[in-house]
Amino acid sequence: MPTPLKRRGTAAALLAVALTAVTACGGGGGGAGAKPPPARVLNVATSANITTWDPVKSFSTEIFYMANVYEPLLWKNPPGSAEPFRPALAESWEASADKKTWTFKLRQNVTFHDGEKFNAAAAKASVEAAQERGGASFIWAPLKNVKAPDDHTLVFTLKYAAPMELIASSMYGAWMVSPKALAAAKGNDKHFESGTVDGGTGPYKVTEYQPGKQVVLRGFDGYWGQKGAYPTVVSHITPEAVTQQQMLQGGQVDLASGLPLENIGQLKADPNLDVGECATASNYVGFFNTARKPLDNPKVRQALSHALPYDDIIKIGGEGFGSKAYGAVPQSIFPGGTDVPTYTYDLAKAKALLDEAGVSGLKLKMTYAAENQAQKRFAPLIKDSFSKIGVDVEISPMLFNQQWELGKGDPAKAQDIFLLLYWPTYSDGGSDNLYSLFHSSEKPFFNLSYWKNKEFDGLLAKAGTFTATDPDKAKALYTGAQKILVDQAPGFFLYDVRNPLVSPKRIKGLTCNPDYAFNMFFNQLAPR
Amino acid sequence: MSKTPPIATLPERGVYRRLLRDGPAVLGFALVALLVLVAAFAPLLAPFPEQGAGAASVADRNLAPSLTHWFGTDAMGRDILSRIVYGARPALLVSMAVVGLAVLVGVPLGLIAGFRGGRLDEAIMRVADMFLAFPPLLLAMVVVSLLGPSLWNAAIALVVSWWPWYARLVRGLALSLRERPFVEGARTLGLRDITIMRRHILPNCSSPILVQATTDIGTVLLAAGSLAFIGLGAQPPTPDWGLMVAEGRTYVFSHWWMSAFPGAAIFLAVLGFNLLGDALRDALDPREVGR
Repeated sequence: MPTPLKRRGTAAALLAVALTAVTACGGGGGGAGAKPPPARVLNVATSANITTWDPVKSFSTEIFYMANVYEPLLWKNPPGSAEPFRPALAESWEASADKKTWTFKLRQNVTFHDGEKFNAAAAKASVEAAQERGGASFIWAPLKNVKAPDDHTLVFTLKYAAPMELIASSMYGAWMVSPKALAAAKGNDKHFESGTVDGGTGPYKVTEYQPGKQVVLRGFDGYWGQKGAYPTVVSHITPEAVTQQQMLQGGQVDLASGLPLENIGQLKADPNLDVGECATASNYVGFFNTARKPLDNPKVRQALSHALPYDDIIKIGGEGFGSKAYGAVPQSIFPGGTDVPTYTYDLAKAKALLDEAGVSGLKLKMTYAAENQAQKRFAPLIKDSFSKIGVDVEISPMLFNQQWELGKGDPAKAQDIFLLLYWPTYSDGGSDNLYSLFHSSEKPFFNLSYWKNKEFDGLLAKAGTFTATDPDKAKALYTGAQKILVDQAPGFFLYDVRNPLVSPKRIKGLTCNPDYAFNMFFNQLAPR
Repeated sequence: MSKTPPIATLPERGVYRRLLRDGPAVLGFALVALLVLVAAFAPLLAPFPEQGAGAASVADRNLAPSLTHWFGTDAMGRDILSRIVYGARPALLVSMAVVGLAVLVGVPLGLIAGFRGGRLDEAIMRVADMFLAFPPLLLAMVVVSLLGPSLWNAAIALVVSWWPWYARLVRGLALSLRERPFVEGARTLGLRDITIMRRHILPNCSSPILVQATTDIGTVLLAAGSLAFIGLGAQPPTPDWGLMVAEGRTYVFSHWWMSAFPGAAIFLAVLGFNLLGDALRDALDPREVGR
């Protein structure tokens, strides 16, 4: 079982929250032989800032741009597609019966932006770099070794059976990078710092970067696949959601990636816009500090779980853009399912459970990420509702990184309740969401309830070995684990996030894909 | 012909009469009195006291002003009038606490610096200069960023920004007073420095301090609201006017009342303290006597 080392940076949380987005996420690449596009500029407003331009280390909101500059071996298709994956830099792939050996046939005649040829040696170097120093290096945990028997074949040998297609199509940590750029970055940490130096194969190159202001992408003439109808894309970095809305409706930009949820009604009334809705792989969860009395008592945690106004939280926190959560795994990804039990909002039951536990006059401290607008909206609802069963909650907004540091510290001094927006690095909610958030750990990372349960851990370990070979069995085992989780209630599950899809009528090509919900694939967009 | 005015002392005969004849002063006093009354009797005045304190009413979200909800409701369905009524409490409490603490810290330091002079004066004033070198709101933002955003951390941050102004004001006054004959006389009688400062210097500084403090309450109220607006002050569900303006900002084109009424409350409160401060300055200025 891999140990996820995902970061939830402040900026990443911000984007995730504000991702009331135009998510053009059908995937990238694909389809050679397109006719040359007319000279057009696409202006985009986005809150996506850049933590690093290093494609290997990238693990934050710069993914918005990276997905147009770099490519993985595979893209994951949206749920409901005929095929779960489609080729990117790999043309075909197959796995051994035990799913421990995976062979990828690579696309030929692909050139990196720096002129290097893409081949198996380059792919091997990219995977090894990601495994060694990647921001999402943990996704490669099952990998024993990777070999390049010829120029266009890549063979992965795994320590245990694992879904390599999912790993190869991960949102983070799976980009193919030019060997020349990798070598340069290894010797010089600042190689990618300017932003205008890259080592990708994607349809766009970064030609201008003004920190905090704008990123200009220009089409790559030597791109192997479908070139964009917009040869120039100017992304205006605009943290304020309302400003993005004004820019979009005022015609300053063609698209906006972070529109205010509160104003979707206005956007729906705009005759120039189409507004839809997309599922995402993000969800809002909370942790009870099980290391502290009386929250070490499951009855108290169950009582509090019954006192959460779930429907109102979706209405106010998500402005209606959310769906009921069934456990810790969002419905849009494996192994999410509605056969996981849920808590109902029942204050009488909550009070009875508290009485049964002999708890009264309970005071709790709840922290949330101050930069997260949805949490800011729904945290007072939790305080208000808990007060109705005699539980006094002190709400403490903190910058996410400060909140996380507090949570990772001594549980005796940490918060009582920790609110978190979470999303997996790739679409395996078993090895990511369930493991990261609730598997026992001596040193807390994302398991911020400090809960330890051997039966739960055992089920996760067993399920993980079946994910690649027998997904149904794996899902059944994960569901069993989730039933324990819901019953013992070390945390609570508020809602699965949905995003509005706001698409100007003059542009086509916008689609939803929860696996790349933070990305916009510019080469798929075209004027109507 | 010019003459040096005598040092002003606390309100004397005629001050109240001058205040009452001054229209803006009466308006300022009325606004401040209204603010104090609203803050004191918030639970009685608010049409929906529970909502004023933060309770949600999801079924009543985003309602426009009506006979039931005079100022409309916010995104959580709370009555905005009730929130504004309850918001008078933190507004008044924080601004008075900040100014009070700034006076408590700044005035003694200014007195010591001005009266004693020498190296002590240099040391105190250079420290004050360091704080004054930063724009007040910027310094407050830095302090809140370090302490974490909350109403009281914002208050601490504002005290840090504000005390040097009082130190500088009182230091200048003490410097001019220490050479006056009545202070020389006190020295000759063998009074200790601390007694002279307390009994003779401080009372003669009280009018300018009072005027400055009155005006500053409005300015601090605005600064605290600004910190809340940018997320560094009061946090939900505190009924803070700055926070309410910020919460309503995203709805401004569709639900104007969410920001407009709390904004108007800030405007009127600041106007009240500014008018009162101006009127006090005029009334306590001996040059105004007889006008």
